[in-house]
Amino acid sequence: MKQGSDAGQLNMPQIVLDKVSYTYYEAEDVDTRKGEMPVPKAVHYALEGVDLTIQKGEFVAIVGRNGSGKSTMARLMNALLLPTEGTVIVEGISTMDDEQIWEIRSRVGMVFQNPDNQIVGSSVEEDVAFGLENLGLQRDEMLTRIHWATRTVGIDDRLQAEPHTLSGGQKQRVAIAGILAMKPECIVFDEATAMLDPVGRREVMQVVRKLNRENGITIVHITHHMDEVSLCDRAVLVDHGKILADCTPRELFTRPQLVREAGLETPPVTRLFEALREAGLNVPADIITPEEAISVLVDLLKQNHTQTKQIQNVEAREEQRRARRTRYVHREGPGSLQVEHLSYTYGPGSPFEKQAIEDVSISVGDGEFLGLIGHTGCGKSTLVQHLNGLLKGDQGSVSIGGSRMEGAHIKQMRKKVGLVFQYPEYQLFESTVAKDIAFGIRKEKLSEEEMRARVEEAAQTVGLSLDVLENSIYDLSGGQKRRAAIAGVLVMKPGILVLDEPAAGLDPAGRDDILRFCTKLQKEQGITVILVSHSMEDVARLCDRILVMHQGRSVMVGTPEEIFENEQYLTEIGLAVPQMTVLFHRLRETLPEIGVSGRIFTVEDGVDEILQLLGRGGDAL
Amino acid sequence: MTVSIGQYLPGNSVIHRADPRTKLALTVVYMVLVLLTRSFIGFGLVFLYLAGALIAARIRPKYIWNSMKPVLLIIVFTLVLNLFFYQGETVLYHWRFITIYLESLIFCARMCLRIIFLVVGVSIVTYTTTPVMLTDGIEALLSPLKILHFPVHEVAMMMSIALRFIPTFAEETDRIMKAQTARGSDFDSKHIMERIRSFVPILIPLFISAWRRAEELANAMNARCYRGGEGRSRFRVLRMTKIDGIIFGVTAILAAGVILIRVWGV
Repeated sequence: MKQGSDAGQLNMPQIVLDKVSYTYYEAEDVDTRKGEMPVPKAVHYALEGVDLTIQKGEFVAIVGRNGSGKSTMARLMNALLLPTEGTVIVEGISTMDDEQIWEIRSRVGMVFQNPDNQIVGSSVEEDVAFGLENLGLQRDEMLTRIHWATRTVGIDDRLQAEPHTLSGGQKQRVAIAGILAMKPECIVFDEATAMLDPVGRREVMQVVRKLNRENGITIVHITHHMDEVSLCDRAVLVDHGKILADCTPRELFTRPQLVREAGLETPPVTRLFEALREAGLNVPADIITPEEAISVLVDLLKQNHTQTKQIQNVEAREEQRRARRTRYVHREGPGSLQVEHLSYTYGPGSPFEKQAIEDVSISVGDGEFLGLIGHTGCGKSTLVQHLNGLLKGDQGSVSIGGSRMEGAHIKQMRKKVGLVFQYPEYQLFESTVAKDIAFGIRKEKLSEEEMRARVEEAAQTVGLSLDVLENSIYDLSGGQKRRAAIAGVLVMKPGILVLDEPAAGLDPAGRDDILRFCTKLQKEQGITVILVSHSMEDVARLCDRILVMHQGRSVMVGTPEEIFENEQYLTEIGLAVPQMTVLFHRLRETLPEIGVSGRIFTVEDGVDEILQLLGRGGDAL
Repeated sequence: MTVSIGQYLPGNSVIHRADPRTKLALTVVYMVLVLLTRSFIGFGLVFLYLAGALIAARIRPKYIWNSMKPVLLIIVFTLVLNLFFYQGETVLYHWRFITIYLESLIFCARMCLRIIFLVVGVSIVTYTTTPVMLTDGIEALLSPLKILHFPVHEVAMMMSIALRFIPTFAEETDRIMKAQTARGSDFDSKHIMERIRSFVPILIPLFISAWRRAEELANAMNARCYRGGEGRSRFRVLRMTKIDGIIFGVTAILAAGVILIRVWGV
């Protein structure tokens, strides 16, 4: 089924989208029993008049916020969706051509977002074989390709493993191997990193880059993570179904205003340089990696610093910044929490026995904001489930507001600790948003008005418009569902709020919304907040103290300043420090003579430090 | 969280290595033979066969006992009922309205032995064959039905996908249960209606999730060029070996023995 001559194929673009629109209809409410036909109420454009040409061997990122149309674009590329208007041409074949649909799909492979929902086989090798079976290959050829593909993605040591025993990053690499074995010319990654932890994302991105650089495979990577975009050759910014920019990542990052308007954010170093330029410094705008930033800043500081003064003032500057933050002062109250020598083992006595947490102790004050960080599988989630009695430790105890969580009153105490699981939107089940939010207080003897007031209050806290309360939960967008689910926990008025990765899978704007009301709850209502997160940036910015867990043990507790001082140790246990901190640690090491502070986590603090080091307007900030 | 599927015990014995088609087909033969057996000499023969299989499969007695546990109640029930209500001629024991005959005792013993032999026999197969292999075996054995347009490949694909997703759904159920417990669901309430109602907040999200997963999986399979059984090759190939020949031979001897004993009425 070869199309055209080889010479013709060489110059042929991989994928061409020509004035492509994709629309869906919202049906009018009609009574179909009366035989009325649903009349389209509104036409929504998921994509509108998109022109895009992807050449062979390119490494293209398509970026945009949730719902911008980027995933629709991906699905058009291998005929999973067909355009409403315009044409999509894959290596000269139109996706509208029914006869060629399998040819297209064998040339353009696709890796999806959810690792669990794309693995068909019951072991790694069987899953990789699945696509090859569909192509009707001989068994010998399959074995050769399976070994080659699994070796390329680095999963060849787990050929017999069952999928559910793998980590998220490993599962995604299995999915990639399954596509790679089919020898496609192009692979589309449809938010394939969105559900992974930072380690998994790194693993996958390394493989993706290798496939492009070493195997010459055309890559279309769909994401909202800007740090991944900087690995690509070309960035296509999408919003409201239209292409806003199509340029190199570097050029894209020099247009921060545009990026922000599209609901995304540039990497911290780029933002640092943007702010420095705004403050009147003559620094380049196109800085996208910490390495570039370091070399520019080193030169700048060497030339300009007012040396003697600054060395003496490191502590003073740090103290000044610390004073600007509201500092938490420990107090006891209904929202205080004590965990003492807690241990828990899964499946004791069975072959799967696993000690999940071991001798963990932590005391959290009333109204404190605690961050909980650790590599996936370190016991964070297990610890969190003890906090409202979902699990009961083998040893040790948990106390809330001074009374122990045990025996008959666990159910009463559970209400004091609101626990928001990862992806909480999956637990919604009632017919309307309001009913679902009210689920947690249905047994309390409240009048209808009181109930309503509580629901509205919770909805307002999470920023959910009151207009949607009577809607079906399925009419909400992803971000709204997440907020409705959190409102369903807040409605119980817990004194302690525990959130497990509340921003997972959300774009930067969605993440900021959620974190904003968490902070607000702590600041204004004095609620104790415990935030489990993989984002060191968020934790450093928001938390009063941080608990670091590793292999079931609590290895460090302290303020962000104390914790992120230990860059090397954190890296060893699979964690990282915020990008700003890395940058300033390197600066401090490179320029020991200038006393650069290593205690910088946010872009704002970074700007302040640089300006003060240059003797410019520090005090005014 | 680790979930074990079925009751497969990992191992590499001759029985483990035998072809699933052999095991499934011979299970059917074995069941017929057990039901044909009447005399205790016959049962002795079946016992020898079974013991041989257990030793060859290297299954520890603990697991045989485990497989018996669920049917214990049925055995006791059959015993009691038949012992007291089966009518015979030779009275062994009589007390007021209870009469136990020799015939009823023999009948009961026969029933119990049959149940035990059936259960242990079937569990040898499930203990030594992975669910995936079982599915393959079933697909192969049912493949003649393709002539009748029975969707053998599709059914087998459905079974293997179902098996693959059991651990995923087990984890998900656990997570949703915990999330709803955190919102005040009470799964061990004393009121039965309350308890039934408490499962709605679990079943609905699970059901929705199953739909979502099904849709995404269908997309992923489509993207990997899946278009049903036609033109599809197979990665897992079933191969008969010498082991299968030996197992067939031994079973043939058993069959001959059981049938001869039955015919001669020993």
